[in-house]
Amino acid sequence: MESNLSQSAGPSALSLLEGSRQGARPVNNMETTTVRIGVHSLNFYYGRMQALYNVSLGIGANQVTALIGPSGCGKSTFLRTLNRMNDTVAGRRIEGSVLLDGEDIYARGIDVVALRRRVGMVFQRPNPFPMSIRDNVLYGPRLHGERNKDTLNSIVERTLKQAALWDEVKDVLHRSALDLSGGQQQRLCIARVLAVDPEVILMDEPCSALDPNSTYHIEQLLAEMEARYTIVIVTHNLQQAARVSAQTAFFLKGELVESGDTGTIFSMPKDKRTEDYVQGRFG
Amino acid sequence: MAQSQLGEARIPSLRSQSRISRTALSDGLFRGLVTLCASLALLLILCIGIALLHGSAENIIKSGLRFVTGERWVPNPPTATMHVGNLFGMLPFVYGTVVTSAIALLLAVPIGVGAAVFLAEIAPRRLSAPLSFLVEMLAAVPSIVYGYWGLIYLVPLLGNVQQWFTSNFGDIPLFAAGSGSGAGFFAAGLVLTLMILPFITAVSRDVLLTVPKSQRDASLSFGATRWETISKVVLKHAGSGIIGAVMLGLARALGETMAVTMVVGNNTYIPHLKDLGSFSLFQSGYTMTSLLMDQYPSPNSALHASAMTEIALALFFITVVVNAIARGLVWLTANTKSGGSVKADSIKKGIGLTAAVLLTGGLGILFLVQIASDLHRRGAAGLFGGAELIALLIVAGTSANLLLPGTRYYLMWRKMLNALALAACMLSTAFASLALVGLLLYVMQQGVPGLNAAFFKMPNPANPNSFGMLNAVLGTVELVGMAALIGLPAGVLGGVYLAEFGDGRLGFLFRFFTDLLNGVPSIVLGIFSYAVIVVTTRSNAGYAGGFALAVMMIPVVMRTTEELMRLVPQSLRDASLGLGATHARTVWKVVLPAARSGIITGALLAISRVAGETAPLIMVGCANTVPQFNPHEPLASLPVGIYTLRNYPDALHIQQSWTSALTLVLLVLAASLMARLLTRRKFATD
Repeated sequence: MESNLSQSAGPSALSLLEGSRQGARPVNNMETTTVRIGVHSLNFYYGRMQALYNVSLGIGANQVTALIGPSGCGKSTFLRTLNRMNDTVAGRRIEGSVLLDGEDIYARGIDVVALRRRVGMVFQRPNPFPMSIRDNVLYGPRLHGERNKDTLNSIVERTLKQAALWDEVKDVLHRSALDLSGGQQQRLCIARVLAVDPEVILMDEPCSALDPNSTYHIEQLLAEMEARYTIVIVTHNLQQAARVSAQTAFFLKGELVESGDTGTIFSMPKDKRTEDYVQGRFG
Repeated sequence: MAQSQLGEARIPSLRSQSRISRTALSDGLFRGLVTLCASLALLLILCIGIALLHGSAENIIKSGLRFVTGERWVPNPPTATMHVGNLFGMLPFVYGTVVTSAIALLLAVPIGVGAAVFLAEIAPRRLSAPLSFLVEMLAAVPSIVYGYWGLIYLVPLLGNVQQWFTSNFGDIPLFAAGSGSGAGFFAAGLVLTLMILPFITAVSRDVLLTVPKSQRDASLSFGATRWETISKVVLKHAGSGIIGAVMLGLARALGETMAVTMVVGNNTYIPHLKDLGSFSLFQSGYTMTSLLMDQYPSPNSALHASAMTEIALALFFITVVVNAIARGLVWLTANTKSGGSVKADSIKKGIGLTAAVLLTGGLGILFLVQIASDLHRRGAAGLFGGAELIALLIVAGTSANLLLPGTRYYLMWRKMLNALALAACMLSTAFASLALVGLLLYVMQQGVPGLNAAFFKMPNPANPNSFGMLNAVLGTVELVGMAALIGLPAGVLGGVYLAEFGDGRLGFLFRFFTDLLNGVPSIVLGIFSYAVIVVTTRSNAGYAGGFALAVMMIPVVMRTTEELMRLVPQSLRDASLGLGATHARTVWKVVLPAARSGIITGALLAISRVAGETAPLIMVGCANTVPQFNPHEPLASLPVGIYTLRNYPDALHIQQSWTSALTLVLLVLAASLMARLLTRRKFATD
């Protein structure tokens, strides 16, 4: 069964990688997108269980890439391989390569600490630290050695404005972050990531725990962030993927079925399984 | 009434047939009974307070405030040659208790928390599971065993260490010449460290495990190192819980008797009590508990007895306060875990801030006084002592931390710090487990040669050299049995109340006092039992000891029963109530059987805790070398046997002690091991 799957996935995934490179859609400034993260023949195992089968995908710079698929299809696992958050999982094993700007992040001698500074992450549930709003935003900068008070103040203001939270919290920066509402907390978590100024931001179903209004806020935010950051978002919500992303990748049972321009994936997918999924026949 | 009966004769009425329905009656009785049992802890705490106050009334009137501030303790009445007499000041003992507990905390807190961090955060499961298990088991080793090991092994060893320090660093006040032997505050502090280490480690580890994984993920995703995540997020989150664990450890250290009595040197005279400069780690002295252990069983006068009861009262008061604060902090952590409550947060902050200010302020003043006194006494040469060195390190560390960010080496520095901190945690764990396993192996090595048929024979009272200790083994079993007879039913019923009805204010109150009773030093319970039973019956009856042990058992059984009954799913209760069973019947037939293995666990834990208790038995005068098992007469027991045997330093009696210690350890560990295995299976099948 396993070998069967990986064999069938092999050629198709490779051709998809080519496809995504050629077919990436031009972004705002009419330049062709460059590939920021290149994933090649990635296999991922939790102990004996294989979670990803021979996945190859190019993630374009300065655009939103959506990862879709039913629960347990491996999209979150895939996301977490991109900043090596899976390192802490006992018994994990990985084959293949993940290139960030051409450099293999799983190569020997790669510093996880430095990597994660460049690849930030927003989690499914808002997880602010039990500190003040200000300290939450400044957690990363302080970690990386920023002590200048003026710089820190400007970081707080800039990132909270970027995250569309500034107006709501500017007078209560010293209140506990736990007093904010769920949607505000998630925007705070985004501001917190922006504060370390990463190149890539990974988002693991960032809206699944939020109400529609907060979701709307965050989708607006994604549109504004797109120009400056490379964003990879895992989502269960197909409409959301269609609204926010330029590129979409569809995962099923640990296999990358199809990826490419979001419009194409949703209107004329090549694979029957993709078509069934985006039309809501399963998932 | 009669009318409705007639009118609705054909349809079964929902209203009861008699004035009080049988359901209401049985549920009411049931509820009354369990409420009574749950309130036992509160009542006992009150009774202990009253009994101790009553016992110390004479001295309170005669000595007044001089008791609190006095530095002299002369229990003999004045005579023609000795003009001073009947002087009772408790300061030397408070001093001893504070110094030994402080040494224990200074050593046990960093090591214990470091080990907890290693077990909860760093170690792979394969390593952390057995190590955590080991640590929990070691928390059950009776204190008399630690004490005897300290007396035979540690004190002579420390004698050499002390000599080396005194001859090389004797100028530094901390290491000035103290007692000639190794016995003293330092030895007592070390033994206490080993005793509270497993406790602090186990509780801190539990607290650390409550920190949600999402917090660690968030921190790691910013490129924080492992140690940065632990120190800035996890420990911050678990902060007040760990302070609570430390306070619980402190309460144990304050109330610990046997281990301290055997190694502290027992000296009522503290030279230059008020001159900080001449303090030496190696001085011998008394702690509050060791004074009680030494002198309470044979007072010189009624006033002497009354003064000692007042010391017990002070000890009781101090431990209750420390425990109350600790429980409060642990409770606050558990209840602010999910965030939210601003009020709890601000209370926590307030307590934390006060503690921080007091601690840093106190330490700072102590430091300055020490440095000034060094300078004053020895001029510039005095500036190279321990206090100066620590101050220098603190200043250097702070400035290094301020200077480094921004330099090219910052990342390297962070990673080095990470490696160092993780290594320190690993070393703490290694130290804690090796020291404790070493102690166990030592006891085994010394005890096994005597573990033969002769040991399990009744001693011959006519022959002082007979080797048998069977009377002590059976006596221990009888004492624990008596304790279980009272403690188990009361504890289980009280636990039923806490689990079934304990969500209101009354339940909170009862639970709080149960936790307080759990922290009352055993020696205080012994004195309570003496005041209540021995004084009224005028005999050192075995059941007075059994009663003291029962009081110790109640809170342990109660809380374990509660915890495990709460694990029984609500749906099971609903099913039984839905079939028309009364609440009492539901608890009796459904909930308790479902929680059975858990309750047995609680009972076994309680038994393992009281089986090794020595102090309360000695307080009520329950000691005997003649084989007899009448509970109205004093009974022999293993722990008291070990304590008495320490006075006979010949090979035969030493062998007898070690074998007794080994037997006791095996008994206690077997009970504790069975308890753990039962809970483990329970959780595995759920």
